[in-house]
Amino acid sequence: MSDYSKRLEQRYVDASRRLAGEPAPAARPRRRRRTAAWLIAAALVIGVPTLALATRPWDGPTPPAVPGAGLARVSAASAAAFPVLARPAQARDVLPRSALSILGVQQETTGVNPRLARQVVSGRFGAAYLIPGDGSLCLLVAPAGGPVRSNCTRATKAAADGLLSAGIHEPGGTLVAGVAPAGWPAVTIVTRVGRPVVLPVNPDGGFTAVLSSPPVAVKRAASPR
Amino acid sequence: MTGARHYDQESDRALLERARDGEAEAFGEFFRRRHQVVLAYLMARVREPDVAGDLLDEVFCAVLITVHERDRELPELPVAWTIGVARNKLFESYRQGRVQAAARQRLALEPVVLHDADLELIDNVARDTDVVARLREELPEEQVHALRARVLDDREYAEIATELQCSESVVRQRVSRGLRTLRQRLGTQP
Repeated sequence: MSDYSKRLEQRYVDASRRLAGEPAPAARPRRRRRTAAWLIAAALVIGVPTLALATRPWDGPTPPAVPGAGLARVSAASAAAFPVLARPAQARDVLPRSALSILGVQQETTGVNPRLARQVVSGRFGAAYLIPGDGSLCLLVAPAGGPVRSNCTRATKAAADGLLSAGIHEPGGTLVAGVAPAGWPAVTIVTRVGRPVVLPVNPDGGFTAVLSSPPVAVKRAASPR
Repeated sequence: MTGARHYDQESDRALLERARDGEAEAFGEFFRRRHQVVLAYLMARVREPDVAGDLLDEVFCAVLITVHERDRELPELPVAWTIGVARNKLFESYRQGRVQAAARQRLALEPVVLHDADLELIDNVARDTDVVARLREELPEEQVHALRARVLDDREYAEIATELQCSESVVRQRVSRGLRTLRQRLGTQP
């Protein structure tokens, strides 16, 4: 269930405090929920940027270590399901600054670690990244010039079904991006209207396309002919 | 929200006055109370929940900035005024080919992250919220009707006049009166 309204409400309350010259209250430690912890990971909300992220933009090829910055290393299961997570970090893996500050807010509670993010696909639309967390995986899509979007799920579910972004409206159609588990040569995107579309998967497991209809589901497919 | 006082008896304008006086939670209540109608208005125009969500954020940031500018009079009908702000932001975004971010930049706020569940929520809110019914709670019927056609549906004066079987100038007067009501109670728009 979305906490969109509450996140925005808190955003404006904090901003209103700043405008009034009143410091925002210190962030209270968040409790881990025993059930559906992955749902928390889905809540990559906007809030007060963490000190590290707010004061030190990451412009190097690898973000600096942040104490307590979430998951220390990628689990063997996630690395096996998504080999891109096991490759050495490259310059292209650095997340856009806007995404960094957003992720930073949730690092302590979700275990999402931007340092372990790997870019899975890029293009004219922008780029998509796979980010491991504590028992969860997030696909973050950063369209060029548009708001950052994310889709998080349990790592086990992602390993079984892959991860797909929601459709992002752009001129000419609906942008989709996603990452497929190891061994999937291609994916079939089921769309709201029209025939399913088969897309090739790149060596990092990523795929992207602009479709004429919003995506509904992603499935394994044989190699596109 | 935890710790927020109860504002049930407060008018929208009173909430904005409280926010201006430093009671930040009052603005939160205003947002909670009115964001759905603004979202529904935006969705009816842009049809895409991610774009509508992005615009909604820019609109409320612009409203918040205005609320804290003490030399500007607060609107008597904040919900109608906020829809006016939304309309302006929408048109500016059309003109520039991208969603406006001036207010957010002024507040040094990062772009909103929209999750799949958020988009679904935005879709649902837009489907379940009747913008005109909400405005009807605030404005005289004839002004609501004219505003609905011209501002919400963006129809031409001649077309509206034909439908209402009156002259174009009468429609213009009604729209103008409705907009003036909104603007006069604000003083100006951000």
